[in-house]
Amino acid sequence: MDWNLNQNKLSGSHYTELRAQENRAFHLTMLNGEINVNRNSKESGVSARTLINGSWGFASHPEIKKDSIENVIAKSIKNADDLNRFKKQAEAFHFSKMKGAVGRKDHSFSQNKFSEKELIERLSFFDNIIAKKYPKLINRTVNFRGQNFLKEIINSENAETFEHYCRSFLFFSFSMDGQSGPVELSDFVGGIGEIESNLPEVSKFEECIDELYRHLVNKTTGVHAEAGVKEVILGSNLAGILAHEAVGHTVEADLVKGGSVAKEKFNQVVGSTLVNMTDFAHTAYGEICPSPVYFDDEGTIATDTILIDKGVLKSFMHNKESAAEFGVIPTGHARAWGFSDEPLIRMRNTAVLPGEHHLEEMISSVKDGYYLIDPSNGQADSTGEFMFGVRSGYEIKNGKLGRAILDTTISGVAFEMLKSVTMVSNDMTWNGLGHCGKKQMMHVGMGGPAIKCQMNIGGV
Amino acid sequence: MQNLIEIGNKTLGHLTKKGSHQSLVNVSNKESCEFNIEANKVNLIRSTFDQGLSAKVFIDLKIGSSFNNQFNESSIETLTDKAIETAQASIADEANIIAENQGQHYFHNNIEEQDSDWMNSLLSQFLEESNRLFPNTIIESSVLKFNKEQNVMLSSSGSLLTSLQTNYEGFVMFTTKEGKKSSSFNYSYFIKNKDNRPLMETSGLRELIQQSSEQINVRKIPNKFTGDIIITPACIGDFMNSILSYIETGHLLRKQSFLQNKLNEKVASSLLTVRSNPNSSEFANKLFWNSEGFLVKDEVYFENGILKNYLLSDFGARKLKEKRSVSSGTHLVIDTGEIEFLKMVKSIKKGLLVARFSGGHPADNGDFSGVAKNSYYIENGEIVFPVSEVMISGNYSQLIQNIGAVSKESINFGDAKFPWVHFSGVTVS
Repeated sequence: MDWNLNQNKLSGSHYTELRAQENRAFHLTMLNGEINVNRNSKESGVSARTLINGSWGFASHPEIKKDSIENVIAKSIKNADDLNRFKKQAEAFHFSKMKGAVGRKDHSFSQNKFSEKELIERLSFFDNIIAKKYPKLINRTVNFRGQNFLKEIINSENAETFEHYCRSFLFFSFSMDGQSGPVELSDFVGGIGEIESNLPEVSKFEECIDELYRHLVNKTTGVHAEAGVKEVILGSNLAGILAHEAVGHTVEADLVKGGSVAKEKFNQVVGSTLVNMTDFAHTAYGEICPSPVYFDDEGTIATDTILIDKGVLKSFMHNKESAAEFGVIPTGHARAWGFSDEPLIRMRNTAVLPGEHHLEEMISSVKDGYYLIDPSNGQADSTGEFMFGVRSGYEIKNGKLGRAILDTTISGVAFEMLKSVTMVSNDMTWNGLGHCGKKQMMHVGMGGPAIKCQMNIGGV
Repeated sequence: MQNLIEIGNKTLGHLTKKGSHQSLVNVSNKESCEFNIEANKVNLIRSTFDQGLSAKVFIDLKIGSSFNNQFNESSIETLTDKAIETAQASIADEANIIAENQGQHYFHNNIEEQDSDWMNSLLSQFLEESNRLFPNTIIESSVLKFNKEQNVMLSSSGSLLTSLQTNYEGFVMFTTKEGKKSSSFNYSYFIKNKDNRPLMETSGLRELIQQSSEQINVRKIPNKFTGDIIITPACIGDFMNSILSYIETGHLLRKQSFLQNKLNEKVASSLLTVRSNPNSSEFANKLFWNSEGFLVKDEVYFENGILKNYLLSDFGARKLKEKRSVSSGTHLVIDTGEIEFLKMVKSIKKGLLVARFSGGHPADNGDFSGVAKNSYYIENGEIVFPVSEVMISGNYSQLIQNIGAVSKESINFGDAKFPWVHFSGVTVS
């Protein structure tokens, strides 16, 4: 699908960008074999954003037609003019002028689409496997979720880009009665691509659900963690959310300007020399990342941003405006969720980079602590203090895994906690299911290896 | 409005012609204009216009739905085809029944035109005052927004519900920075009509920004303890939404709630009364009907500690053979108590004033834990110092039984109204 925006001339001495976009989503859920969610949606429209004398104007409309395009451009100019009228005095402003990106990327791998009937049959198929294998579950939920994002962008710096990103997942969640009430765990398979190309082989699916069931059974006799600062091994799934929440948000340039503690830590030691962290644009170690961005929503070519190199904070993440203010080249972090959203500084694929240790030797090095495996939600702070929920984990006693623990929350202050890192595993896991919420939603990738560090853990 | 009704009728007609037995159609449009603040300056004016068309189809006890934001003929064709295909492919369930006829109603709430000069003046005054009183505090990622929204719901049962409302909505976030030190960010929100009240006096903003300016110098609590916490109005909503999730369809349908089968039992302190008042004249924003096509009314969930109603959808109620909720789970009100907030603080020997909570998803048995943000240590009846890195843990089932007091004072956010609430038995570490 193309909207041929390049037929619209962006004239005038000011900067303007024009974006046509369509977001599609579907969600099909079965609870114990019965459908309780079955919906799909499609939203499209066009938006324009204009910068005049340091003031931004933005306007959007759902119809992508000649007159509505002209109207949103005119309205965005009027909004910028109005804002200038409201200002009592002119302000200095900065803005990177650069040659816009030109290119196309399509991840949709077009093929024959499943009908609604075929989708439900396939979901029932996976649900039946779970029902037959694990009759002791008190609840089982399976669902398919899919998202498509199609964007065409032009700007007055001659950017012309089109991108079609899609991702889809088979998500499954199990519940059992435990000693202290029902316990629940969930997992998923999937990633970039349509659901038609993302369904797992039966053997792979059974491997996943067997692992999930094993942890769930252990959790039925789980205990509360002991509250306080503990030595922990963060599993690779938690390292990704650590990279995103603990460090990523604090080094987004808009939050740096808004008071983030990271501002004074630029080029300072913020972690042990074992800590390396990068926000990958689209490709890491030769593989496409879960949320690849080739050109951002300001028409900038997206490149990797090294955030921490051997424990030293090296970069912030920027859009055109903040890059000019900080005197650096923009690396493509301006992203918008829907057609009516303005681009904000966002992460793409933020990861802790692998080290040299093996997970087994890391666990065996802990005398009294926890191995934490599966995160739920997380949140960052301007102070660098972060938290994330943990749904699955185990005690470590004298280097051996002990009892499973019940749901808990862990927290720390990023630039202190990273100094406590003493081991980093040599493998890496990406999580491509993530959404980040910062005024708007955004799909992001998070990745990392296992990490040994000190954390505050909630419990009794 | 007439245009939206015509589109709704056309969509209903298409659905019937294509084989839908019963159908529910929602049509809406929304105009917004938003002033954005970054680093103490208004830096963007954003105008958006959007619209929506959704169709829910019932065929032989099977249900399907589809949503689009285009109103042209071919989009309506595609939308109705998709909704029909989804329903036909689905699995029959006796709980899939369309809402009965809700009659014909027109609702309206505070119809006014956007006043950009007033928005600019309100923000300018606020930013000037904030900068003068709290020069180290940075207002960031904040918005003041005007909304004008029209909604139409039509059903094959005969319902025709229409609404028009306007309001101003705001979200204000702030952090204080002194040298290398940063405070934890905090925020508040409001929905209001045009009035003369300064923004600083809205939704507790003056007190929260004042606290932010103090939270540059935080300390760790002396030791781990199990004790009292007071949760502020700006924070209690998060806790209450978590607690109400245990009486919602998701938890009850899975039979994974500590409040399962507890209707009309005393499950909480007598001091706790929680209501949903979607039609309240106290609120600048209202809700008139829900996504299943039922008109919504005010309803009490906990009354003097007794669980009076579940928050069940019609589908959930039919599955569980219970009564559906007539409210919406929105527009929450916690009834105020007898004691002033400061006297509440005086009554606490050792505890925490919790102004923001950053927690993980609570467990099915009600266990919760998370970080107490922007919070203060209380000792011998005095608020002593702002704290850092404090985790609180407890269980919601126990928490709602351990209420020591509810304050006389409350804050109206425009779609919710909450007091300060004192709980005991919380682990603070």
